[in-house]
Amino acid sequence: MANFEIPNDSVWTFPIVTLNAAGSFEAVPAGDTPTVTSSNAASMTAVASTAAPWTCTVTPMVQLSPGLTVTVADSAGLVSNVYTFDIVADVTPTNVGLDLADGTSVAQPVPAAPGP
Amino acid sequence: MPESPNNISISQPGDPPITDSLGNVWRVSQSRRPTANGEVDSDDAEIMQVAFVNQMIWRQTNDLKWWSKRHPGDPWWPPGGTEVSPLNGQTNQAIGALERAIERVLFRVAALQEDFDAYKTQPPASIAPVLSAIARLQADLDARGGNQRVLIALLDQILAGQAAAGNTANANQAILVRLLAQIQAAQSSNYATVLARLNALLAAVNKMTLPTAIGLDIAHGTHVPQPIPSREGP
Repeated sequence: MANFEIPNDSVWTFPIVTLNAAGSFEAVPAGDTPTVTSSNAASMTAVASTAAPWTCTVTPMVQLSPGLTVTVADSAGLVSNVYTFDIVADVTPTNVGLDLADGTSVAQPVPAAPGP
Repeated sequence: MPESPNNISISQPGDPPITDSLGNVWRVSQSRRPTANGEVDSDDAEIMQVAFVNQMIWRQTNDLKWWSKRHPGDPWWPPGGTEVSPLNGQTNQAIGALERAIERVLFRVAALQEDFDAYKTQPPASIAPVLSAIARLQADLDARGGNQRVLIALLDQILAGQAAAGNTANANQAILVRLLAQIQAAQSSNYATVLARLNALLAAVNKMTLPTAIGLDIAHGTHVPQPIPSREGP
């Protein structure tokens, strides 16, 4: 599975799911409790919500950090899974404007009107 | 009307009435209460069936207890009811009730599956009561030699969600297979229908496999903004 990129200016929440051997979602076993563990809590925290529906909240604590992992396990002993996250700068556009320094020009006749 | 045959029972409002030795006509009301000559029984308990055995009228209440009386105005006896069925052997009415109960169970199981398919991560209802009730069903059949009325009662308990949880899917699937074999061995002309219904139930339960792994549903993650952290990184 490819690394999941998390912009450093956002907190992400993912559903925690239980799956069968075919990879389909299944009902959570009775009495089961999930746990999530970050590979480096100083760089990225991972917190499980055990109220239904289960979720995992991932919070970037630094501006840039590749290759952080979250391990998801449970009290019933299901096979755990590890997910890799890269904390990245948010490059989503937020403003629109002109790049004056990189303008280009072509010739035209001088306009007839003297001014405004 | 002539007196009804001995060892007969009715369980649905549309079933043919029972005429007792005194000429009273007993039916099951739409609210599942016994009626005598059109009057609802003074004891307001909901029932599973009404039977006529050895000139006594019997009712089976939802807690599986049996109670009897001779006249419509008499109190039901014994005071706490009895778990011993007065009926001998199977009746067509009981088999019909069984088929209806299984139909309702199939509907219930299908609804659970649809709910689960819709909600995926957290189904609104657990399948554990269904599986547990099947286990109790087999245990009761083993203990009582295949009492079909117990089967009906347990299936109704499944519907009501009253069965306790705590069994694994695989164990219960095996139990249901044993149950099918047991019913087949009884060799009634109606058992083929019952068998088909239970096979359909088995197929529905088999769809409900248990999870083997746990993980994140990355595709359905959501996010909220936060200030950019002050630290640059490791």
